[in-house]
Amino acid sequence: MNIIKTPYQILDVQPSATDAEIKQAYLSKVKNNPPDRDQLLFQSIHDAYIAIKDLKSRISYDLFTVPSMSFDELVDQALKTTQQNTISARQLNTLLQLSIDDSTIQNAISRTKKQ
Amino acid sequence: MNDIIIGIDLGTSNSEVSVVEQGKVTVIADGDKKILPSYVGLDDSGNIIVGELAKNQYLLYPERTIKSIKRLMGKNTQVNLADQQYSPQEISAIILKHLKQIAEKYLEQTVNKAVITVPAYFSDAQRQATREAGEIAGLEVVRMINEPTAAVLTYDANQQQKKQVLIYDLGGGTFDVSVVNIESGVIEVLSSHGDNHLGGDDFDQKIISYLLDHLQSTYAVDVRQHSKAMARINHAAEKAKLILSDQPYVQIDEEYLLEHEGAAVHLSIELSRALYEEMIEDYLNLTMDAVDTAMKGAKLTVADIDEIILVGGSTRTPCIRQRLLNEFGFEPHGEVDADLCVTMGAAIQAAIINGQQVDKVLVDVTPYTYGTSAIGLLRGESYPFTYEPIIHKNSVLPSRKTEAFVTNQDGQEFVDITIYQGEDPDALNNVKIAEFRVEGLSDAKAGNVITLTLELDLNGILQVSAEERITGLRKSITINNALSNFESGSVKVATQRISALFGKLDASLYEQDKTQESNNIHPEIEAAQALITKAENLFATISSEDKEDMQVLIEALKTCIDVEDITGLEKPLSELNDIIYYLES
Repeated sequence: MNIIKTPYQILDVQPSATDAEIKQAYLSKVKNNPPDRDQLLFQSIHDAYIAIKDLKSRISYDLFTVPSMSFDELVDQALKTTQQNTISARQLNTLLQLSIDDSTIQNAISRTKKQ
Repeated sequence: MNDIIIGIDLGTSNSEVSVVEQGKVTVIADGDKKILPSYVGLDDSGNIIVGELAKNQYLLYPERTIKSIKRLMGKNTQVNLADQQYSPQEISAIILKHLKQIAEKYLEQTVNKAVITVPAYFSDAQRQATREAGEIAGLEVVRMINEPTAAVLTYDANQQQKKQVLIYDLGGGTFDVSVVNIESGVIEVLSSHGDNHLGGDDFDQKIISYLLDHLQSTYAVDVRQHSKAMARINHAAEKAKLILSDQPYVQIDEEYLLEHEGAAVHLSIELSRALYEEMIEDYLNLTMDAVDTAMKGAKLTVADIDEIILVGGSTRTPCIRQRLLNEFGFEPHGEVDADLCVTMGAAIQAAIINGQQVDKVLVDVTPYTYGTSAIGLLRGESYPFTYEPIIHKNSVLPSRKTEAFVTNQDGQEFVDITIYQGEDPDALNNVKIAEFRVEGLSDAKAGNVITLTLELDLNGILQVSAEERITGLRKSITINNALSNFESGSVKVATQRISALFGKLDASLYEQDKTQESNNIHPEIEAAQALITKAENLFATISSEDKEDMQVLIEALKTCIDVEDITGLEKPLSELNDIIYYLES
């Protein structure tokens, strides 16, 4: 299996990096790898940025860290694990797009602060 | 060395061509004119004419002159030009071919590649049609970029400070608004919105209706029946609009417009700016609504915008500045040339693609949401055409997204997939852009997983593929049918048709050059060069035998040109002419 890079590795930033640092890292990566030159590379840089650009996306990423697998592999895996019982399209898509909403994060943050 | 790539702004009212040379952008002038009116016509002897000449003859011969063809791009329709039917792509190709020739004359070499700008809000079909127009004109469209984005490319992107800019682009026929973040040499489009059928032409129409109503009530005459009188009224309305940009009043006089029941009909009326602004207020409200949508899409508020750039001739209307000032609290930026910045941006993008310029990078978005329909819930009830968005509005390009769907019946043999463009939760209220069927599915229970992948490339053109997961059965399509359903059948046929028209144009150019004779170049040499260009343009479509014959003759011509051997040109020139004549007939 090939080595899968995390968004932090793709953008060359520390997990402790601030929003501004991540944005700068993203811009400089884009500057050196414009969409015209290598579309796939550009897309992976952009996806990495979207995954960790702010607190909400970083929490979401940390909670649901799936090594950045391709969508195809994810589907296959979802299929393998649920082969016995049939699964509805809605369930499948929910499974693949698990995320958290703002209120959950706000609650989580306020709770950690109190502790 | 890389091929030269030119940058073209193919506008509703005006078009321009530019190129980057030694890091500098030049808008290429034809004679002393940088702006080519987007008019195409046939003159008295059946020669094709483009630009100023065609615009002038529009008043006299509206039936053999075409304007504002861009408004029809992407529609399955034909226009009539002197009793011949042409697709919008073909008419646009004539303008493109003319621009290509202007560039070739200036650069003294053949040009086969171009970056062409399109309104950001142009749909997939309109983009496809634009690319086809390029092909018909003999230009490989290496990239289509959005007009407001092109305008920002003329901007210095490497300033110290981060800047958030709103681009308000109101042209002859289309309106776009984009919000852009400029930072560290990267131009990032945050959102785009617009209207494909809103522009200066609509403002003209308002004035025209006003004039027609006036004539109707004064003379009880319906001028719409008289094409020449209508052409004059069109022209008068456009002129009045331009004057009202500077003056509070305009006097519109057109004498002897036509004869009605034996008496001459004269048009004489005053129009105030205030009344004109009232006429176009609804349109301006629409543009301001689009500005709001774009701001929301970018998740910004008015306080976040550092600068406003105005693009397009119609932004000269003073009340537009006023409306933006009221909304944002400061005046739009004045440095950017509203008419030329789009073509210049196209040339800069061309240079970036060619590796000539590397100090800025463009990241653009799609203004549309693309998705499919499925059985689902709409307003709480089961509905077979629930919209399932896949690529969302303002996603960064290129974009590739996959979603999983399942069959709903046991042993389902096929699925019909329809692709829509739009935002409405009811798919049927969106624009259907493609449908296809995946057949031969395996005999499986309901719940057979089909994945659907949508890929939007840097030109904003969509590719769709579907796959049955358990078997890997695949079907993919490019939404590419804009031209397939028009009469002449294919790009190749259209290319030959338009080239044939230009055979005549080449001759007229040659005549012009002969009479001018301002420089020392022999007209024979220019004619030879023009013919070489023409011959080389044919290379792609002819047999290798013909090509070899032509290459021998071209070599002979080039040798004569180098030593200015005028008499030596004669024989190869006429032979080459014969071959071209034979190939084109």
